[in-house]
Amino acid sequence: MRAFRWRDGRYVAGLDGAEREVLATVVADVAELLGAERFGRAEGGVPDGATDGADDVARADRGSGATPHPLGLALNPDSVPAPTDPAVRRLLPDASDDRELAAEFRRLTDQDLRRVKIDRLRSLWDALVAEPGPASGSDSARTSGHAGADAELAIRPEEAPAVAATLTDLRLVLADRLGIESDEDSEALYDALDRRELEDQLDEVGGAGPSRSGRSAREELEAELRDYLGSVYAALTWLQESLLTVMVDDLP
Amino acid sequence: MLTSPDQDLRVDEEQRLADAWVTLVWNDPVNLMSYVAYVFRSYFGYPEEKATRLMRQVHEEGRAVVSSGNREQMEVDVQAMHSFGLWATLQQGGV
Repeated sequence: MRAFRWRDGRYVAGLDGAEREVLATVVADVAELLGAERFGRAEGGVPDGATDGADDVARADRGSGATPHPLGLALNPDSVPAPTDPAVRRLLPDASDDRELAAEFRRLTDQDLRRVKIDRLRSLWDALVAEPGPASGSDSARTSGHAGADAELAIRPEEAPAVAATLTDLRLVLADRLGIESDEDSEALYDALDRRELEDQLDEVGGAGPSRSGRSAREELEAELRDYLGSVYAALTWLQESLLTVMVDDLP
Repeated sequence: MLTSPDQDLRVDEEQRLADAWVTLVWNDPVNLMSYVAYVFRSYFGYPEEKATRLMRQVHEEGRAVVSSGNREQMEVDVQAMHSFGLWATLQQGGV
């Protein structure tokens, strides 16, 4: 993974094929949590490229939690319950500790916020799974280069705020799954990742000895899953920080 | 006790602020300081210095008032903050 840099009027980051795949999966997961249909499902995970507008509308409506009005009027639902999944509730938080005010706000905004977030996730997903194109041509966010080590994610400056916001949404969901509730939790995650890296290096040096003795297979699996999510979280944090660095440079 | 015109003005100002609604942004362990400051600059149009001060206040004090106005305006601001992934609430009066 290579940090975002300014190049030829675009912000360009380096993401190899495996990194793009991991990121695209997280993007699709979060969109699904928000009520979108699984991205790319029609072709079994293969990029489905361009979608027609009607399909997008249908998807957004399904994500809204509102039932379509028989006359096609865009009515706000009578009430929208708060999400039960804490990660989704963090993406769509209560706007007040006054329950009535929070419920009214949710009724008015839930649909729009879900649609905005899902549309942004969709754009990023499209860019991540796009076939490598020629060095110039397409006007939208896309990846270029070969699917190997040097593939790139190039975004136009006007798209950058949406990408930065989406990286935040992805990190908020991962943070919930990792149980990060305080700055201390966040620091502990990075310490654990450092420790794990050191352990792995020691394992390589010391051979196949049982360096993590005492752990059951299940505990080991859970630790590995946590390491995996933690690594993705750390990578997204790093990528977002690098994007912000180039974005701030371009602020008036 | 003497009441100066200044004090009367101050009372009026306090009353006005008490009637107004505010948007609060709350600290969280996920959002990057650079991102929060960027949102305050790009969305509210605050100068770098003010955006950074508000971001630090959120980070160090747990929350900051980032805008004030009538309820409808604050609903727009809170919705925008939520779209950016910041945790924001609105409430009437100062804090």
